[in-house]
Amino acid sequence: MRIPGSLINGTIRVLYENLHIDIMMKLAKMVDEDFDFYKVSGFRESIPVNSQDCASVIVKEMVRQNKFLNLVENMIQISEKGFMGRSYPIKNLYEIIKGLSSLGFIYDQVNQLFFEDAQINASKNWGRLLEDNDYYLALLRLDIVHNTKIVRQNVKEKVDQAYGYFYEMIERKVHHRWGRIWSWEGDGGMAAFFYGHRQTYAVYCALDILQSLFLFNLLRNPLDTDLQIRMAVHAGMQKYSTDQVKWKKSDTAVRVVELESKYCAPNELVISQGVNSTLEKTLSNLFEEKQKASGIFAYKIKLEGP
Amino acid sequence: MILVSSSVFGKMGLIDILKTLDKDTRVLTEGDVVKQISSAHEQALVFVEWVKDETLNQKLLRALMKRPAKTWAILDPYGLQQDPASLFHLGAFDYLGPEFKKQLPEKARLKKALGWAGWEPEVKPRIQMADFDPVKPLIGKDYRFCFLLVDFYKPENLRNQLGDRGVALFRNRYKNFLEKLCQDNGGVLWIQQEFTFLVAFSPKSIEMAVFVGLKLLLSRSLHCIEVFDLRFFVDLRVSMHIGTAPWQPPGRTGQVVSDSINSLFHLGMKRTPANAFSITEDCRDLLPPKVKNLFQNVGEYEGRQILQTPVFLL
Repeated sequence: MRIPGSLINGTIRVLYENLHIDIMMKLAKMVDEDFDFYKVSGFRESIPVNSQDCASVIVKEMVRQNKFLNLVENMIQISEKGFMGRSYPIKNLYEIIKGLSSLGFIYDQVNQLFFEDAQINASKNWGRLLEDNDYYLALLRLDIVHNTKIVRQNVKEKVDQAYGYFYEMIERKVHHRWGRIWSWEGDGGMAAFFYGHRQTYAVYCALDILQSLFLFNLLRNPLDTDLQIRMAVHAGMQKYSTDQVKWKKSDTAVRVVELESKYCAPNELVISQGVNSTLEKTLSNLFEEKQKASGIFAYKIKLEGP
Repeated sequence: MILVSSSVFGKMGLIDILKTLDKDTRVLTEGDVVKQISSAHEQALVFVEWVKDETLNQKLLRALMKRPAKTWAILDPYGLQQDPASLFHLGAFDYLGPEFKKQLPEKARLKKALGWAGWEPEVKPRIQMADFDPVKPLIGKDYRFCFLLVDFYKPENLRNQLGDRGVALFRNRYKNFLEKLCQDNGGVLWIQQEFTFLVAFSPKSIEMAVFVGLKLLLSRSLHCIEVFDLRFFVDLRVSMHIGTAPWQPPGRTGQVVSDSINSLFHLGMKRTPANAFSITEDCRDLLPPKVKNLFQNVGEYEGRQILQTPVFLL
């Protein structure tokens, strides 16, 4: 990730105008625990360092290590929550946040992390998750019911058109809730949610997809038959990898597929107990526990008369 | 406009015949017919049926006599009128006696009587009227619209939950939300009264209007929680009608007078159940078959067939 010189210089200035050298050093250690100022800068320990030089070395080193975002995240944390019981309000921090936002990064207040704005770049790791690392994520699994039958019974162009519209709709709804589509195989796929209230966002997204499917079938579906889907949401520790085979082996991914394939009826959304317990009560009340599968909660659109 | 209050001849199909002559034929609702006659437009032609209640008939006659001459007619399936000619002396333009109980009068016969009353079968201007174009509407010009009425059911519940200040904030947020949703789909949020919102679409955009209406009902739970951060759910009523009105910009609609809008407000407030979507028969014909199937006929209201979706539960 390339950070413009103006943003680097701005960050250096904000640092030395607001923090003492010792706090700057501690900040650098928060980002990189192996950080050694003298080794990086080449200064001798016996020579006193001024604030400007200290800030400059730290910022440039973090940029070099591709940890600039982590540095800013820690600066925000120190400014908002203080450090070791003392408060260190950092003035003009918003200028750095603004600079990052123009580079296509959004700041997530809930998790205090930056991530890529999907309108600019929607990489599967949000530009932040590291290969083979485990993260706490919410996964949304979606499957199109009777896909083979649909493909067999309809003209290819119409199937492509219907699935194309449908995928576009899903992608829009996932990105809107800061999620990313991790896999899509034509008849369904998986979306991951890491930022914001991840479980809630995944559930919002699934509800939105289910409700929009109703309208899609009425107004946009070029096929003779209605599309039906099954959806499940589960959250837990999940490995991030660019290799699908690897991340699909994680327990969370396996469980969400199981929830969808074993417990979900067509045009239904099921969620695990873990997810349900994190939802705000009004949202959770939309779900009913499945009679034959305790600990699994389901939602369906309900119509009554005339 | 033709107004009809008729049980016997009405059931036999008189209203349908009159509708073929004038699309703007409406049935007076049961109840206070006298009051409706008094408040009817002075150019409207009113058909009133004598009932087996002499006192009520006298009241009806007095109300009819207050109307301009040749704007009313009597339907008398039971032959209660002793001297039919006297009605013409009092200002009636037509009389249909018990002989029509076997067979209703021919369309031509009715047309002639209406013509004698000054009615002109010129319905073409309604058809030729320009469709509303949300891009460049002309102020004061009559357009044909597809109207969508979104109405909060029992808004007093909101006040109990949110308090006066909260309600005002919520109303403003909902207005902005609805305005954006309509704009994105080719509609204009036109008139707002507290928690009742009238959206204007071009009749050509009727599918978009249906989309907006259904979206609001289907995603009511999600909108309440996610968009408005509420801890309860609001109930909505949605209704739609094709009709005409003179255009005025939003915010300057105080002078807009339109029977179509009045009729839609009546439909929305009096006939549409909470969390359902009602449309008039005029809309049905413009809908694609799949959408049409969602709406079931639920009877007549103010002279029009009404169709309704099921209630969308949470």
